[in-house]
Amino acid sequence: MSELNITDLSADLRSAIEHLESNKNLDEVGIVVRIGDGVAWIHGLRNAGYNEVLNIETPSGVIEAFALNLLEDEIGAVLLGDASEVKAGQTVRLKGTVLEVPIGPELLGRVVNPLGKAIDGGPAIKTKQFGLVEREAIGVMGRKSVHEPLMTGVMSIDAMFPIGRGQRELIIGDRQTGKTALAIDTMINQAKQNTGVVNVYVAIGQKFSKIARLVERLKAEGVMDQTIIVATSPSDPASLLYLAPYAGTAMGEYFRDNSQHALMIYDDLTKHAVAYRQMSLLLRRPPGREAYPGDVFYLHSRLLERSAKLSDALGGGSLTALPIIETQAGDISAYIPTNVISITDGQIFLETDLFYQGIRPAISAGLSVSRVGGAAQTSAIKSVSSHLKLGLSQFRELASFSQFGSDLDEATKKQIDRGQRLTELLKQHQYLPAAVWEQVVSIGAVTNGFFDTVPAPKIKAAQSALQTKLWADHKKDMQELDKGAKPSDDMNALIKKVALSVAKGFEG
Amino acid sequence: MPGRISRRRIAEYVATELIEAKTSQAKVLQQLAAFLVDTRRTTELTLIVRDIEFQLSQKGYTNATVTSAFDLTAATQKAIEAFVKDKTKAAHISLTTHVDPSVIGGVKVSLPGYEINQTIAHQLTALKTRFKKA
Amino acid sequence: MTFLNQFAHEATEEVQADLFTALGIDWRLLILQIIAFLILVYVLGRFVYPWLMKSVDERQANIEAGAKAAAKAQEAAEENKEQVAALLDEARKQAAEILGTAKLESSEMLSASEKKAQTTAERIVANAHDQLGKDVENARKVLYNDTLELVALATEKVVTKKLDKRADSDLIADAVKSSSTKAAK
Repeated sequence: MSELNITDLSADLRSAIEHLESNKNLDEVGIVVRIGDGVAWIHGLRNAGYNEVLNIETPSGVIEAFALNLLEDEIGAVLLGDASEVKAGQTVRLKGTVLEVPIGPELLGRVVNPLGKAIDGGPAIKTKQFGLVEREAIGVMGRKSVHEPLMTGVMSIDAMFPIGRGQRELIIGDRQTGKTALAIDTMINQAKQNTGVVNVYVAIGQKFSKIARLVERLKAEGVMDQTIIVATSPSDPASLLYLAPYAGTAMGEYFRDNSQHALMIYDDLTKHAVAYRQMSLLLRRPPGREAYPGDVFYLHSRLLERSAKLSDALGGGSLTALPIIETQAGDISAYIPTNVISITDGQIFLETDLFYQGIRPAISAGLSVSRVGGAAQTSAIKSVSSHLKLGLSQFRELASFSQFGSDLDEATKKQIDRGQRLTELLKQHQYLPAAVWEQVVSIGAVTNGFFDTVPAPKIKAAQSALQTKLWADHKKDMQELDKGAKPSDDMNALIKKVALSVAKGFEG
Repeated sequence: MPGRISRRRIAEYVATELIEAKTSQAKVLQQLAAFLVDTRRTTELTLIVRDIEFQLSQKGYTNATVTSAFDLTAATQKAIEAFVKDKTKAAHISLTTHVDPSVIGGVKVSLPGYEINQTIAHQLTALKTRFKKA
Repeated sequence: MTFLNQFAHEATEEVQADLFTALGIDWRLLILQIIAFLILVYVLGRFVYPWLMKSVDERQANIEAGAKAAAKAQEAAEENKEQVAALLDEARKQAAEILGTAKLESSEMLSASEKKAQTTAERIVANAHDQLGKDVENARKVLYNDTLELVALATEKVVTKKLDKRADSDLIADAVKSSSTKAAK
């Protein structure tokens, strides 16, 4: 806890006065011609570059803006601060740099705005480095194929749609279907499994109350120490909402470029596109489809392309992205969703119907996909999940038959029972990500038929009992299994024996 | 109907005409005024004048505005003129002085598109704002 | 019978003096009775006895079968008893295991809840410390900013009073000189 030390305060003041130097250079200046809706139109500054930072001198200080429209007669600059201080006629100077944010491990555990300023009430953040907000993605030769798993702890995802480090996997669904919950569980799992992956959560236009709850939850789960939160609220200027994902990516790239692994979560890019649309319309750029500007695809493609797995020559670090898109009425064929689907390496589709049926996470096994697939899946989970997707898809086909109540043959009944058990098994409480060994034994018990005598409503209880028993009686084996290697025959036999004995206690 | 002519082009034309002096200054300015009235762009006059000044300074005719708290002595004016010549390499320099007690002390030299502000008021504002802790 | 009696009576009168008479046996009656008996035996043997024996045999067979079945059932019951005992043992064992697992789970849940409660309490304390630190830092910032403003204001007032035209000229000359020097460098 810092103390109020008058001596230190006095020293700070002296230092400020001593370092006060007048600018002896002839600076290029412009003037603010008009200001409105967060956009300042500036006359002069003929040498201003695209995205260059401009300093507007107001009586209460310098307000920064960045040049987005470079026209023949004037510059359209989007303000990064309080527009109420900016007035026509004020002097504008070039800062001489493009937008940069502080980057480095000093940001871990903090909540910042897209300019890198702390907004969690803590001390000001002083980093040794600054990173460019807009930066080119790594070229082809600098990349390596995705081959390391990023365990989310969500059984449905890790078993059926595995995500690898360096992959971009979209989370898409209607409002209140659990998109953010999936992302949070993934973050929590990185801490629980000690993966060393740094989380960067970019909240775009999210209520600060929601962010405060998120921070509390992450602190409670012990994740906050390896997380950076870049937060913008709906009351922030559209410029900050526009910059937030790029600023967050710059922070994540620090870890990627230093041979570490980082996870980016953009929550959500729909609001990002809306903010960009607002800015573009105010900058008088011609509107296109749904009034979005023509480069709205480029807005997201250049952002997501920065998430990559680097080659060994560049350190082997990775930046994984989980962008979130909110759809309206389940329409994934709308403009922005289709754009982002075509950019990412797969999507997790959350359905409202499944959510209200109690299947949470409400992942649609039919519409979700991971284009990286098995290359990034843990061997242990791969060994038990091959029949999972097939079982569920067969169940989906037959589910409609069972509704008619018609007489079904034994084989069909068996498939339906198996599907119901699998559906029940894949339900998972929030904030309880599953470890590798837990997933392997649970999925294996159902797909191999050990739990065939357990009725579907009792599957979760049986699963819990199985995991408890295995951990209590065979801890070393489970720790070995948790490392992710394909289980040996002895291990499989052990799991079978224990699963069968547990199943007897839950027979219906 | 021709497209809208940018201010920069208008300023370039006017500056060229003024320098070449093929037409009288009064005529050129009259043409400019008529054009602005005709195209209903009279509100852009201030900006066009700034652009003209900039174009003229690019062609060697610089008008510098000097703001200070007190009247400048002849020696000071000469020094400032030399300074501006050194910076802009302009062949023709005209100095316009302006007394503004609110700058407290020091001098501000404004050139078309450039400025150097060494007034005490500017430094005190910088002290108050640049070193403030957010 | 009347005929027989009559015949027997007539016959009796004729042989009163021989052996049968001595014994009191009417040999004609005896022969008739023997014949009647033989007829009876024949009839019984032909019609009654086989049926009777058949019934008896059947009953005998039934009884034997019943006895065999009973013996078999007894054996089966013995076997089942052993199996039941084995099943009961197995069921008891599994019940014990399930109970053990349930106890283990409940104790783990309890210890997890305790741990969670402890962590929550520690977090609350840490949050309170953080909040105090933040408050002090904020106060420090406000004091610093306010002091900076006061310094600037004071300087403005003093310089406005003290600075005259001459001093200002010197100041301007220095400024112009230093700007030119910096450019030259």
